[in-house]
Amino acid sequence: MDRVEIALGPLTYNWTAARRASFYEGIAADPTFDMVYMGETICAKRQAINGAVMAEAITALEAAGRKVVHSTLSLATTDPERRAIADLVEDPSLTIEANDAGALRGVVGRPHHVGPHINVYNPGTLEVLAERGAVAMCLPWEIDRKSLDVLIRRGRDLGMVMEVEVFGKAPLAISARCHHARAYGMTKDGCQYVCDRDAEGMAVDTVDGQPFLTLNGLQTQAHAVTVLIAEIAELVNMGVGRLRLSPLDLDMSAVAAVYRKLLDGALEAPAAEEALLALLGERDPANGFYYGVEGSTWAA
Amino acid sequence: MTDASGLTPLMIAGQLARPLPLSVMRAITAPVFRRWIRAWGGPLSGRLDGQTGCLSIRPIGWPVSVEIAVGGPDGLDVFLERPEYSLGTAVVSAAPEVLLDLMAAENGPDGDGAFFSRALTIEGDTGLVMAFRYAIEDAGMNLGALMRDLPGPVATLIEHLSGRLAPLHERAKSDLEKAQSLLLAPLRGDVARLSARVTRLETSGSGGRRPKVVSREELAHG
Amino acid sequence: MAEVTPLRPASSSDSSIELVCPAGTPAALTAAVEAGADAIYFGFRDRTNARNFPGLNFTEKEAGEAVATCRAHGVKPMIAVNTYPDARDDAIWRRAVDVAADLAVDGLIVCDMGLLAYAAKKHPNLRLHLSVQASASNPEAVKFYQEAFGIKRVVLPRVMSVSEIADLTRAVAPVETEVFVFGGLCVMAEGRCALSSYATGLSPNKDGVCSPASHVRYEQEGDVMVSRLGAFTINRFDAGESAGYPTLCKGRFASSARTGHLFEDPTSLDATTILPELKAAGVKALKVEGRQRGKAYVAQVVRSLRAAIDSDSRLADPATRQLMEGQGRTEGAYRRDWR
Repeated sequence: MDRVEIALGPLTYNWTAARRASFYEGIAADPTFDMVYMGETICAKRQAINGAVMAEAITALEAAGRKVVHSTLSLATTDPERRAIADLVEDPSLTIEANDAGALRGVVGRPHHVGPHINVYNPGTLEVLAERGAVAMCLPWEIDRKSLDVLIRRGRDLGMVMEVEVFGKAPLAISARCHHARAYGMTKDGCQYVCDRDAEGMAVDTVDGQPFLTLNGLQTQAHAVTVLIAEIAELVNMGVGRLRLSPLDLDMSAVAAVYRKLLDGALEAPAAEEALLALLGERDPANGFYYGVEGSTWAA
Repeated sequence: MTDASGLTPLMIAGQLARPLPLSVMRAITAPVFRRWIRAWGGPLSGRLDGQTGCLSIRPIGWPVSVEIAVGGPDGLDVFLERPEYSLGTAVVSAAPEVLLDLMAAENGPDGDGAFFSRALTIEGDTGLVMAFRYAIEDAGMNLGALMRDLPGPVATLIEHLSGRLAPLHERAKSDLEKAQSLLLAPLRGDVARLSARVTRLETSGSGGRRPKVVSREELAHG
Repeated sequence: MAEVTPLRPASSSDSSIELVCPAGTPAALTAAVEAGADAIYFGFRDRTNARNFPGLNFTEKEAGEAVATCRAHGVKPMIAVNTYPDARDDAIWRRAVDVAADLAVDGLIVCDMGLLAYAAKKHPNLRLHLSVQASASNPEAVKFYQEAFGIKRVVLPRVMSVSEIADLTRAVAPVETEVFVFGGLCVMAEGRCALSSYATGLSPNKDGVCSPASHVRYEQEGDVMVSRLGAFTINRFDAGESAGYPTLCKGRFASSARTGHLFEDPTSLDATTILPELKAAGVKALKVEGRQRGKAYVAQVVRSLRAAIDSDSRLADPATRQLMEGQGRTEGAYRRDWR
């Protein structure tokens, strides 16, 4: 069986330039990450203020031998949003991960990745995308294990590297409206970048005080952190080619190390799970999507 | 002190019916329900396909609820029950006037408005309530159609009575409208309050607890 | 199927804007025909469509009758097969496409790329409309679907402003654009929302349900009505406060910034005030949401919109306002300040 790689997904939160710089410095220094997805996938406005530091990070990552893939916005309607996508897909030197059909059009016929925001639910769609040049594909978060089994096997048959999100807060929705700004009584246009106040998004509880969701700019994420760890053996058996970790405000190198050791047989699944849950601290874990039940469920 | 103010006329009628034994009420209604099941069981069955449970329709202030059992071995079943013994998996409650209004609508009941304005509540199996609503709307079932489907003797009786009662009914109706404009408007929006009033009324003891607002005679001649 | 009277000959609306109306049952379809719909869309009674509600939608036989009724009255029938087929078994989705093709509907509304490929290949003459569930929200995305599958029309997501719609409509021609003008308002990009899936395990994309009835519970706590979706409280309504269906994104939630309707107030979309602007933007069709609503609602909304379109007026009958959830209205993303 091929060596299963580990990828770091794009940063979804609006961290300050300094925080981004130090975070990616650590990633560049850590060979556990075979691939790093860079690029703003949520809000084009953030890109305007963080473009420079992210460009430096990309240079440093590549210099350190990390393979960098450029992820595009997941929802683009305005001119600046469309331009942000065009700037990436029109540069033939970049490897692109497309997150909407507009970006897909820009990379048709050349090798590219398909991101988790493209609705890939069945082999028919997988074939459409493979025909148009997809060489790797990260499946959507809500796909359950029985479907993953079908999709991963078919994707491999078509010569694609199939990737699964195994760690991070699942994106549940995206809107043209910024609910994060709205919570502070602002609009998207005049948001003052309030999404930078919360390192892992703003917690949304039910009115009964039950933790539920996370506001992250235009995106709404789960409250709980998706953790697939006891399930890795099954995923490897299906033929998964790469595991993706979505950045949280914790030691992502330590998280990656747990997965690497598990994949290399240096750590048993129960111990790996225990290590990950310890790294999560107060955060709640969930794996319901994998088992085809409520995504908020944690099947221990 | 008994306070029946704030109750709708039909709620008061329901209160007046409290002394009737359930067996009597069942005996009166069973032939009607049998007839309705024969007429409507088929047309409703398509959209109720896959549903199991019991829909309990509760006119607030009434001593009985109409229970509609779906998905049993004999298909549809309809019977009266004391609300406290109801096995309803879904419960729809509203003032009897609201329920009548809904059923009287030519297009069948569209409970959305009543629900949004809190004049109607749904508890339990929301899916069953929705399926039932689509089923009766698509089958063209409404109050007028149900009245046309009464058993022969009951129909004859009603026809006979309605001829005699028509003038009385007209007067009663205008009184009812007056009563409604006084009583109903502020109340329609709040099933919880109506129910609370009824509960207070029902639990406030038996002696001298007759509602004071209207009697049938007053309604007829007032 | 009841006899209905055609209001206009079919050809009268060909050059003007098309009014596309919902039908959840044959009765609602008849109501929409009578009220003056130019086109009516509906779906089958399973998870192949995005309004997979208990008791709603059409059997294959009913679909055949519905198409015949539409044809007899010069109304264009359209069928929505707008969920994403199951990886393990897509037989019901393919069957839905084949049945719609046999009925020669005027539009098959599809979102999934695999299913679009199947439909385009197997039924080259079938007119494909890209469902809003595909979330194609820029010209490049629409062109992707046009180049790949030959779509003839795109139903635009409710995330775009009128000027963006005008730009897109110009850019994607000859692909036509269709926009929602009345009914439920999706706050999130359609086809990109797994909120229900997180709370209930049933998914808008896979199962055709948003805030599914099977997981909805209303509970009275004294004067307060609590609505729940799965294990989560979606709203609490004080006595006398107008209530709503517990659509997840219309609920009340708590955050450190504020507590309340964090996503959207309980309002419905009403773009009847900007019909002239939408027309000027070049959109081909105006869509009414609400296959789950009753026939009385469909009749009244369609009649109002018909009158507004025919008289080129700005305001539809204000009576339609009462039919809206929460009785509040918004033009949504069509006005940029909504964002």
